[in-house]
Amino acid sequence: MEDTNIIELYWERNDDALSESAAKYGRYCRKIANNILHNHEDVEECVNDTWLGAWNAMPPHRPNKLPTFLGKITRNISYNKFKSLYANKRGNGELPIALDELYDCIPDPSTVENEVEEAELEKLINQFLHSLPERQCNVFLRRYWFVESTSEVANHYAMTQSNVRMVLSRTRRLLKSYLEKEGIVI
Amino acid sequence: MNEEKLFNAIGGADEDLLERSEKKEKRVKVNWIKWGSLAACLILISGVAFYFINQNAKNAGTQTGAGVSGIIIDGVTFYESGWKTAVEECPAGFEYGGIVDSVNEDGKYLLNSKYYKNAEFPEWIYVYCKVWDSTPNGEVTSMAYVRFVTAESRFNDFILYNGQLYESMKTYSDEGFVFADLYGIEIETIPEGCVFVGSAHLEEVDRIPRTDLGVNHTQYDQSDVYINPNDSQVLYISTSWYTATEKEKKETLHNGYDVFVRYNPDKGE
Repeated sequence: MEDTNIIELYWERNDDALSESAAKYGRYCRKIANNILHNHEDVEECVNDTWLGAWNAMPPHRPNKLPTFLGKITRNISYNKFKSLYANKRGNGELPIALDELYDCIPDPSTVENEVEEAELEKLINQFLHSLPERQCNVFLRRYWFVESTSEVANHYAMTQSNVRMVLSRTRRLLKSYLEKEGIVI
Repeated sequence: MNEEKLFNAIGGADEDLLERSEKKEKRVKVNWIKWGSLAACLILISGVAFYFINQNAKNAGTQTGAGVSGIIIDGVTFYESGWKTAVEECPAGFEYGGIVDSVNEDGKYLLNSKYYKNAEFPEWIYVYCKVWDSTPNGEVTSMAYVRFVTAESRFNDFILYNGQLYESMKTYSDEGFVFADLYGIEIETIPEGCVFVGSAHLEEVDRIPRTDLGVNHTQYDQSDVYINPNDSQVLYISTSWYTATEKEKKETLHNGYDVFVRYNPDKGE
C-alpha cells in the first residue's frame, strides 16, 4: 500500500492503518529499536507502541515521509525504554558506546555562555548536518541517529571500519567546535 | 546528562537527511575466482615479500594496478574506481563512447561492455557492467554504471598547495624509500616551526585537486594542513588512527599527521 493511503487510514481512524504500517515498516522500526535495546521483548513492545504513537499523532499530523516519521517515534520510545531499564547503569549494545562518543562533542562550559533549549539545539544540529558533505552527514546519522555499529555503517557505504571511525571522529570534533562557536552550553 | 540531550537533539534530524542516508552504496566486486588465485599467490610470496612490503608505502601494491580491473581506451588504461561506487543511471554529461575491446588481465569480464565518456572529465570513463551487491538477504547481482579512472587519479592521494601538488607518502613509491626515512609516512608530531596554513577541503574523489588546499580523499576533508617554512618539499595533514596492541588492551585513538611530499609525475609510477 502507498504511504499516502496508509496516512489516509490513520486520518480516517481506520485501524487497518496499524497492520498496514506493521506490514510495510515493521522491519525498519524493529531494526532501529534493536540497535538501541538489543532485547527481543523490549523491541517488540517499542515497535507496537510506535503504531500507537502514530495513531495518536495522526491527525493532526500529516507526515511528508512516513518511514522516517515512524522511525523517529520508534527511536524516541526505544530510547526512553533504554533509560528506564538502565537508569544509572551503562546497559548493553551500541547505544552506551555512541553516547560516550557524543560526550566528545560537548563544549567546555567555561568557554561558552548560554544554556540552549532543546528546540534550539535541534535547529543548530540540523544546520550543522546540512553544512556537512553528503557522505560525512550520512555516516554521522547512521551512527548517532540509527545507532548502527561502525561495521554496519562501513557495510552500508562500502567503506572500511577505520575510515568510518575516522570520519566520525572528525565530525565530532567539527560539531564541538561548531557548538562552541555558537556560544552555547548543552 | 549532556550527551543524552545531544542524542535527543540529533533525533530531530531533518527527514530528508534521514531518507538520504538510507541509500546504500554498492560494492563492486571483481571475479572471486581470480581474487582467490591472487590471494593464494600472495600467501606463497608473502614470506619473501614481507620485508619489501614493510618498507614500502601502504598502497604500493596497487600503484601499478595489479589486481585492479582496467579497460584500455585509445592507449590509456582506466582502472575501476577505488571508491567502489556504482550508479543505476548514467551520470549527467557522459555520452556513449563505444564498446570496450581492450582490457588488462583483471578486466576480462568487461570486454564488450558499453562505455561512456565526458570531455570535461577526461580522467573518468563509466562502464555499464554487472555488479555484485551485498545485502542483508545475500548477494544480489545487477547492472550498473561503474566509474573507471586514470592511474594517476586512481592511485594517488593529493593535496594542492600554493600551485604545487603534494602526494601522500601512503601512496608514494620509488623515491618513497628515501622520503619515508627522511619524513616518515604517518607521524605523531611534526617538526618545530611548522605553520598552520588552513583546512583542506574535499574537491572530488578520483580527480586531481585544482583549488588551493583541495584534496581528493574524503579522509582529509576539513583536516588541518601544516607546512614547514624551511622545507618546501614536505607538507603535513592532521589525521587520527586507531591501534589495539596487547599493551593497550583496547582500541586506542592516536592523533597525528600524514606526510605529503611534492608530487613528481615523472618518477615512474
